[in-house]
Amino acid sequence: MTTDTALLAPRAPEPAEDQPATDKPTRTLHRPSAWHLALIPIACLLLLPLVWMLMTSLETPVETHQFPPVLWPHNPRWSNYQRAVNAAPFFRFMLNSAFVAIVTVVTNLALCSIAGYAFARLRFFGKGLLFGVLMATLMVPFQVTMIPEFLIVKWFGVHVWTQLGIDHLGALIAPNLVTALGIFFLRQFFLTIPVELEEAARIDGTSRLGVLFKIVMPLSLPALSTLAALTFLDSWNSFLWPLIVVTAQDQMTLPVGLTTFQGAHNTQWGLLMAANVLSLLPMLVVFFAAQRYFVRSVASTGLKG
Amino acid sequence: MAEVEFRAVTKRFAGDVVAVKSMDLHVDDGEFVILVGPSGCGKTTALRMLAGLDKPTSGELCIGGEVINAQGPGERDIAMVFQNYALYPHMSVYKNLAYGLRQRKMAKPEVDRRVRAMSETLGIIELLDRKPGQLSGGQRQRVAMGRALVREPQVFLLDEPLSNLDAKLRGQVRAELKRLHQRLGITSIYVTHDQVEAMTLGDRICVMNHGELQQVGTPQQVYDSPANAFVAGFIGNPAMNLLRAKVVDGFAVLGNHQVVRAPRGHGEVVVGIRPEAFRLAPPHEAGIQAHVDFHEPLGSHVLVHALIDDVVPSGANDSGSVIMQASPDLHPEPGERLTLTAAPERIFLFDAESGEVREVREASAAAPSLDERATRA
Amino acid sequence: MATASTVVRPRPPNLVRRLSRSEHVIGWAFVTPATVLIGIFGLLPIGWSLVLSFQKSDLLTPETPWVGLSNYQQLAHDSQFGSAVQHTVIYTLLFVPATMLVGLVIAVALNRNVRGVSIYRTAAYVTMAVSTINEAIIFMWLFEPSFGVVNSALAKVGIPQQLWLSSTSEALYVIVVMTVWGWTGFAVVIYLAALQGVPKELLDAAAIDGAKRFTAFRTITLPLLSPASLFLGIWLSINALQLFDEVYLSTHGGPLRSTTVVVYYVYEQAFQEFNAGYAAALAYALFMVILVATFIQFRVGRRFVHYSR
Repeated sequence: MTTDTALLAPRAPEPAEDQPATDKPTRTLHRPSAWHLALIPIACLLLLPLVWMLMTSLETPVETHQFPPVLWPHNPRWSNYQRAVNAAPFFRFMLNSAFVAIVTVVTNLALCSIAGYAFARLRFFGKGLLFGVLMATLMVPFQVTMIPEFLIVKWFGVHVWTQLGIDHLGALIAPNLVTALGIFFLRQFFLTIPVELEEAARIDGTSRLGVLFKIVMPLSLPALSTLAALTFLDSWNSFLWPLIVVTAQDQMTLPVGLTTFQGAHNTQWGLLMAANVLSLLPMLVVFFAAQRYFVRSVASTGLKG
Repeated sequence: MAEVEFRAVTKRFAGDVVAVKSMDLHVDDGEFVILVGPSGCGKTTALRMLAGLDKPTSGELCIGGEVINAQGPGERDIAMVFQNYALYPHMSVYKNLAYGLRQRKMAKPEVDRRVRAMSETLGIIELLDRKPGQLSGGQRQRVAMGRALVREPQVFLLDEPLSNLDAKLRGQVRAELKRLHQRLGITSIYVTHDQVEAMTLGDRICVMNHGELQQVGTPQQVYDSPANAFVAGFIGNPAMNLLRAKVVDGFAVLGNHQVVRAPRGHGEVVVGIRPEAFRLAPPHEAGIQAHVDFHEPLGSHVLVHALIDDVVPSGANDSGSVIMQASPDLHPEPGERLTLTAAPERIFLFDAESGEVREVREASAAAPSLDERATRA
Repeated sequence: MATASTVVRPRPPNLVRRLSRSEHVIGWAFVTPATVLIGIFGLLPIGWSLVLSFQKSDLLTPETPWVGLSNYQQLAHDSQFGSAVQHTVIYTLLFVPATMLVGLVIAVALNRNVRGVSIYRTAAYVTMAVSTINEAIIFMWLFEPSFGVVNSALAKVGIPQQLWLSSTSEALYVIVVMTVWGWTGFAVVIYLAALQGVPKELLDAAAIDGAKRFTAFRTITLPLLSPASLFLGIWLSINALQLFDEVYLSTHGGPLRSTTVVVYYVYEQAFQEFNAGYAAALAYALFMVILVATFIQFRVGRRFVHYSR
């Protein structure tokens, strides 16, 4: 199985269609199966940390300091959430994260698709070399580039546009406007689209750009949404770079904001868990809504094996 | 003794889909039996139950007189060739062949001897070091057979093993299969949707439809004496002509023509005449009046597609069109008029509703032929 | 009028129009934005970092004197770096196999069409949505020595209380546990997809050949999963060698530097000690290690991995 096959399949990993449509109805068992006995403990164990976090977020400071711990808060202390929001501007953090993530996704989709298309379909001087060089950057870990990136962003902030500089959201967006991985991903996908469709459009007089937007992109929705999901997740959860670049609280993204919050309240576990739940909620919602794309994005990177 | 028996075997899937309905079948030791029928008729399900890959909802499966329902596939001493071969892609051909033997803890020298002997027989000895991905379709099919036969099983199951081969190869492998069976004499059950394979390979054929056995018999029996309209229309290539006819005055009437006597009938019947049973009526004799639609020359014979005159189309599959198999000397032009006739013993009558055969036609002087009736009428 | 001996060349149409139709120009037009951005934020820093590694810089003052190879010499003798490397390696050697094993076991359990299986699968995938920071905070609480649930569960079984993240000998292992949990979802997705790519017919054939369930799994399924295993091994290793977030939040590299991993050390040196040149050298060293480790895995993998057509 290649990336292409997985991307073209419109659904999340499903049983492989390896058998011809002979006289074999589906094998779905509809009786309660003993397998649940194995699956339930596993699911519980995996979800335990999250559930425990939720429980604790509703406990009073006294309850959190109990040993052995309280299994169920006697009086759910919803005020923990109120306090968390008062103690640090969590909605501001979320807004910042959302802004950065959304802009990053949009620019990535736009720029990676035109670049990916060019690498997939156009012939131009130096194409092979350029592609190789861009892909080579994928091999270099972030820690190598982060120090100079810091200096570059600082310079931009001072000499070009303050919004791009230290302690501004622009600095979080700028280095991630395009990723080589995104270009690679979309190029691979575009290669699987039958050339004849584009050639037919060109014969009809459509410009190159027109072909890209009117023919190729509509056919690439699965790949684009997968890339969008991946990019969003990456941007939202990104920590090291925002940590380095932003120290002003009102410009912080969620992970960084949460970290400073934790530093300030590190023994107030109830409060801390409430803050944690708040921070987790947006991503969980997005995850459940777009689960299919997340799963597919991960599966396709693995299957290209 | 490796006789196989299905006793009232039923398979019901979730959602009340009954794939196999109370199947009763006895296969003798060494017999080559074919399960044939259209997609969805239950033949593969029946095979899989015998293999142990699916559990029957009720009924008993027996091998060698022993009820094997409780045994797993590995314990039944059966071997199977799958439609897509199911060769282990990460193992060499040698390892593929040896796998089943190794699982049964056979000693290495013995394994080696058997694998090499079978590879010789099947002509794949040079391929032993290759992986399935490096083989052609025909080679893979042989390896699949080798993997099954090397275990010298009591029963040999085959699930449409030829359907992925191209036409020429299919013919070759069919012949080889027949030779192999003559040599090895293993009880074999073979599933296919191709009635040509069924006719040429089987000692006996079991025609299935909608989960039920329609008829079991030798190829010639099934061809000569179909039990119902389904079997009649399924066996034989090109298919038997099946036409709705009204019964008037004790005769089945096609269009304006009294085709044959239908003594117990009233209302409607289905008349069945094989393409090869038709002949042109000699001049001045009565018969079914038809005109030529088009023809298909096949070298050794011609298939003439004709439309019976004055027949009102009464449904999607019954527009009064028939196929006649004729000698290649005939050069019918479209629109040309023909008078068709057939010997009464080769005309079948089927019940219009149930499809069951109504009469067993026999050549007898008492039954009037078309010619006689025409002169009489 | 043209004579036979001269060829009249048609005047080129409007130059701009011709250029705009040229595939070369269009191609470059399409890739330029991406190239410029990756150039500025990718290629330039890679080169600059290398240069930095031969300099002394504190990120604040513009003077960056050249010091040749002394940064690299320093890191070769730096015992703190040595410890960081040791911690990173131990962490990687524990984290990668554990995650793969857990992921595989769960994926096998989930590879059934039982009713409601999608709920269980979602439960398994959920850990992918949890960020490293969230995960770290949750586990700090779970492993809290005085009030955490782990210690109380142990107490019920009679095992004495542990200091976990406050213990120099245990902290790193707690981080292993929390990151394995965090990556389980990813591993499950990969393995589940790979498992579903194994044709069911193969297992039918193996059953008929007499292989018991576990033998069939070991001899048929596992080898066919090897491409996924290789991918996971490499991907997880690359990420493990770059561990940072959880260390920063839960232990700040402590207690007593027992959880300081390489990237954390790089961060310290660059943004807390302001030894940017040295940090760059450290980062490049890490880069080389990752490259070599990936290359070795790839090569070794190639011998054992089977790619079915």
